[in-house]
Amino acid sequence: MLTVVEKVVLLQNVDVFSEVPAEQLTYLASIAEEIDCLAGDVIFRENDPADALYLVLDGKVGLKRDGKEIKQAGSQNAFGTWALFDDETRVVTATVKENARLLKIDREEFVDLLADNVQVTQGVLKMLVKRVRGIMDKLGTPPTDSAS
Amino acid sequence: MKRFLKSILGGSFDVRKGEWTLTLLMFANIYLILVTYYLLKPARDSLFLVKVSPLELPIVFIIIALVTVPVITLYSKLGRTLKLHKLINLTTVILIINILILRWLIERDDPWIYYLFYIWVSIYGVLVTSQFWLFANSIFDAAQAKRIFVFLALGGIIGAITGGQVTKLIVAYFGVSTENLLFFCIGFLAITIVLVSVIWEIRIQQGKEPSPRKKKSGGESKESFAMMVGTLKGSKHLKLIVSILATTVLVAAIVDYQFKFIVFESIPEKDKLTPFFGDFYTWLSVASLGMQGLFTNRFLRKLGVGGAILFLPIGLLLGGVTMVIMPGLVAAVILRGSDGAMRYSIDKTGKELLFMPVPLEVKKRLKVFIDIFVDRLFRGIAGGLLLLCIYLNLSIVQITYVVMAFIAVWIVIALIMRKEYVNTFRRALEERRIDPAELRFNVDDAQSLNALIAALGSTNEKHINYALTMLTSVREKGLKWPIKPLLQHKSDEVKLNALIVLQNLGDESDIAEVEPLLKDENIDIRSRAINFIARHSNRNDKDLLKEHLESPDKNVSEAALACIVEFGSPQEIELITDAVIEEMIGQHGQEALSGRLEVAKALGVIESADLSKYIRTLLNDSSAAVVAETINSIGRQQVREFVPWLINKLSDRDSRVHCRNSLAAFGTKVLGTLNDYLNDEKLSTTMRKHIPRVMAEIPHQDTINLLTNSLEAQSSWLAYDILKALNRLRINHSNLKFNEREIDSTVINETRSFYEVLQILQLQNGHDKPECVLLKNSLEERLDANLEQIFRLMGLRYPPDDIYSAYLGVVSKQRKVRANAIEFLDNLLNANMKRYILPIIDEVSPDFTAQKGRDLFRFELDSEEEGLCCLIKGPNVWLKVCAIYNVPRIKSDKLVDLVKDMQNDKDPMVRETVKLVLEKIES
Repeated sequence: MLTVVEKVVLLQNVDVFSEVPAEQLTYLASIAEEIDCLAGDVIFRENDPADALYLVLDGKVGLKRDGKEIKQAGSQNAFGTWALFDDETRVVTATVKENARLLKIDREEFVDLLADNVQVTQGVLKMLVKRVRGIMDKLGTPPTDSAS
Repeated sequence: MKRFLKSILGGSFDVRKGEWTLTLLMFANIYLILVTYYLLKPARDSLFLVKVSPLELPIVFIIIALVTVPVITLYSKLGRTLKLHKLINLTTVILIINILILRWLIERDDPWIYYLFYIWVSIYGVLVTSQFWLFANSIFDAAQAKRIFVFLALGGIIGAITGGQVTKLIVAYFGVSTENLLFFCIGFLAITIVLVSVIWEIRIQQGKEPSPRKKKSGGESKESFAMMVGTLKGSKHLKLIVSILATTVLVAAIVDYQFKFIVFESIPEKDKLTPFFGDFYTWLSVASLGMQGLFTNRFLRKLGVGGAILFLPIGLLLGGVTMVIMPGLVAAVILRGSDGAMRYSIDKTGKELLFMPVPLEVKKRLKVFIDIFVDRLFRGIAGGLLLLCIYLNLSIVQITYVVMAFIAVWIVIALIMRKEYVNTFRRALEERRIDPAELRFNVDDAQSLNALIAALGSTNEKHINYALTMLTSVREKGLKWPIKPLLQHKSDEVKLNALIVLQNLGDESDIAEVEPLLKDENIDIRSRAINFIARHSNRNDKDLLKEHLESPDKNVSEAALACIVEFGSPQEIELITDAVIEEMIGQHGQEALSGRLEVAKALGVIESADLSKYIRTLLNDSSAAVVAETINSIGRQQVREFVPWLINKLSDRDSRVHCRNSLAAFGTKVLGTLNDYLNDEKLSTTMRKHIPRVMAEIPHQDTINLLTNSLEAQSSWLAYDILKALNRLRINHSNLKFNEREIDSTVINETRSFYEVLQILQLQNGHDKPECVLLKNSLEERLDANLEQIFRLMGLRYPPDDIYSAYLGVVSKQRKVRANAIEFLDNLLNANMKRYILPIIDEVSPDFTAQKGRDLFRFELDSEEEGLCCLIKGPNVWLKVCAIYNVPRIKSDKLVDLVKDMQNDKDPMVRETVKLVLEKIES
C-alpha cells in the first residue's frame, strides 16, 4: 500500500494536478485508491459512463478506439482524465496489457473534494485556464478578460 | 418635533421607519448649503455688476470654464486619500477660510477681487452641491435614494428660497452691507460640519459603513474621455443628448448675461441690486418648486420625455419674442425666469429620463464627460460669442436674435430626440440594459410607460418580467388593465410579478380576477394572491387571513401561513398558533412538504413556548429545504441552545451557508462561543476552518480583537483562514480598528519564517530525486504562501486596495510591473517594515535575500541535514512529512534518531511516513 507522501509524488506528475500545491495533493491522495488488475482485464469500454481517472503505478494499459490501439499507458501515465470534469462517455476502451497496479480517483469523490477544498479547485482551474490560453495562443486569438 | 414632521411629511414622502433621523439631518444639511449659496449668489452678482461692469461678464464665463476643471481634479485627488466625511469637512473648513480671506480682500476694493469673488462663488456652488450628493449617495443605497432624494431635493429648494429672502431681509431691512453677508455664510457652513460628522457617526453606529467610493486610477479620466468619444460616435441617442445639453448651456449663459446687463442698467445701486437678486432668486426657486410639484409629473405622464424636453426651449423662445417686442427689465425677468423655473424642474427631469435607456457604465462615463468637458466648453464658447457680440457692438435685442437662432436649433434636435428616445428605450428593454435597482427615479412618463406596456405583450417572458420589474414603483392606476391579463400567463414568474405590480394599483374590484390564483400550483403565487385579497377586501384583514388559514383546503391554508409569515403584521402573526404548527408539522411525506417548509419559515417569526421542540423536529426532517429554513429561523429567533449544533454543522457542505448566516444573525452574542471553538485543538479541524468566515460576518471591534489574538496561536493553515476573515472585515468595514503593533509583530514573524524556508530551499539545490523534487516544490509553495500571508497582514495595516495591487505587481511575471510595485511599497511602508520586507521582494538574488535573513534574525543553517532537522522539528506537518521522506537520502544518524523519536507522533500522516522511511533504512 502506498503512503500519502508516495501518492503525492505520483500525483504531482499528472498534468491536470500540476498546478495544485503539493500540500493540497494530500487531500487527493486520501481519495486515491490502489487497485490491482490482471493482464486482459478491461478497465472500461468505449461509450461506458466516465466515472474515474486512472494513474498507472506499474504495468501497461492499452487504449483502443474502434478496435485500434491509439495509445499505451505505462508507469506514471494517467488516462481517463476528462472523466473528472464532464458527463461525456468514454471515447476509448482501456485494457490491461501487463499485470498492473493503478491509482484510481473516483469522480464523485473528486467533486466532493473540490467543493470542500478551494485550494485544490484553484489549482485545477489554473491548469485548465493555462490550457485554454495555450489553445488560444495557438489559434492566434489573444485571450481577454471579458466574458466574450 | 420629529414626530410632528414625520406626521406631516410621511404621507407625501416614502421615508420609512429607522430612516427619519438620517433623512432629516441630510435635509437640514442641503437646506443650509443652499441657504449659503443663495446668500453668496446675489452678493456676487451685485458686487460684480456695480464694481466692475456687466460687459466683463463674458470674460468671467470663460475663466470659470477654464478653472473649474483643475479645481474639481484637485478635489478628486484629495478625495482619494481621505474618508468622505473628512474630505467634506476639510473642504468646508477651506471654504470658510476662503470666505474670510475674500471678505478681507473686498475691503481693499480692487476690481480683480470681484472677478475672483464671482469665479469663487460659481465654483463654490458646483463644489458644495456635488459633494452633498456624493455624500447622500454613500449614505443611502439605490432603493433608499429613489424614495428619499426627492425629499432632500425639496430641502435644497426651500434652502434656495430662504437664502434669497434672508439676503433681502438682512440687506434691505437690517441695513447690513452686501459684503457682510459673507459672515452669515460662515455660521451656516460651520453647522454643516457638525451635521456631516453626526450623520457619519450615526451611519457607523447603525453598522452600515457608508459605501466606499471607487478609486480611479490616474489614467482613467483620459481613458474615459477617449472611450466616450468612441462611444458617442457609435450612438445617435448619445450624440443627441450631448447636443441638447451643449445647446442648453450655451443659451443659458447668454440669457444670464442679457438678464444681468438689463438689471444693472435698471438698478445701478449696489444695496438695491442685492435685495433685487435675492428676491429674484427666491421667486425663481418658488417657480421651480411649483413647476416641479404641480406640473412636471402631469406633463410627463401626458406628453412623455419628448414633450418635457421641449418646454424649456419653447419657454425661452417666447421670452426672446417678448424681449424683441418690448426690451427692458420685464422682458429680461421673463426670459431668465423661464430659464430658471423650467431648467431645474421639468427640463431636468426630462433630461434625466433621456439617460434611462443608456447602459449604466456608459451613463456614468457620459455624466463625467458632460460635467468636465461639454459643460465647460460650451460655457466658454458662450463667453467667446458674447465677447464677439460686444466687439460687434450688438444691442441686447440683436443678441436676442442670436439666442433665438440657437433655440431654433435646440428645438429641432429635441424633436429628433423625441423619436430616437422611443427607439432606444425599446431596444434597451429588449436587451435588458436598464437595471431597475439602479433607477433613482420612478418611470412614469408617457413615452416610457407606453414602451413598457408594449413590452408586456411580448412573447418573450424575460421581456415581460423585466418590464414588470420596472413598473413595480409606478402608481398609475390605469396601468392595471394591461397587467391583469398577465395573471393568467403560463409562466409562474410572470404571474408573480404581475401580482406584485397589481398590489399597488388594484382595488376590491380586482379580487374576482385574483381569486382563481388561490388554486395555482405555486405557493408563492397563492400566498401573494391571499395578500392581495386580504389587503384590498372591505373586510378585516386579520379575519380574512384567519379564514384562509383555517381553510380545509391544504393548499389555501399553507399559502395563508406563507402570506402571514412574509407580509403579516405582529397581530396577524398571532394567528399562527401551536395548533396550526402542530397540524402541519405532523404531516409527513412529499405531499406535505410545502406545509412543513412554511412552518420552518414561520418558526423564525412566531412566539411559542414549544419553539425549541418544533425546531428540533424540523432539523431532523428528511427534506434538506426544510432543514435549511429551520436553520435560518434559529438565527432569526436567536435560539442559543442550538449554537453548538450550528457550529458543528459548519463542516457539512449542504447546510454550511445556512449555518453561517444563522450564526452571524446572533451578532456579538455568539462571538465568545465561536472563539472558544476556534481555539479548541481537540475539535475537528474541518469545522474549525469555517469559523473565521462566520466571524467575518459579524463586523464588530470584538471580532477583530478575538481573531487577531487567535492569529498568533494557530498553525499556518488555520492562520490563513483567520487572515482571510480579517481581510474581509477590513475591506468592508473600514471603521474597525486594527492593532498596528500586533500586526507588525506578526508580519515580522512571518518574514522570519520566509527567510528560514528560503535558506533550507537553497541547501536543496542540485538533487533531482523524486523525494527531493517534492521537498523543493513544497518549500517553494511555502514561500509563496508566506508571501501571500505577509501581504494579507499588511492589508490590515495599510489601505487594502493598495496592498492588493502591490501584491499582484510583486508576483507578476512582468519585470516592469514588479519594479513599480517595489517602488510603490518603498514609498508606502514605514522604515522598520521596509527592513524586513523589501529584501524578500527585491529582485537582487536569492543568495542576497537569504543573507539578509541571516543578518536580520541571526539564524544560520549550514547543511541540508540541519535544514531537514529544522523542518522535522517545525510546526508545519506537510514540510515535516517531506523532510522525513528525504531522510534515507541523506544517511545521517542524527536525522534517523530524530525520525525514530517521531514514531508516535499525533499526526497519522507523519507516523505513516516514519514507518515507511524506517523500513527503507533497515532494508
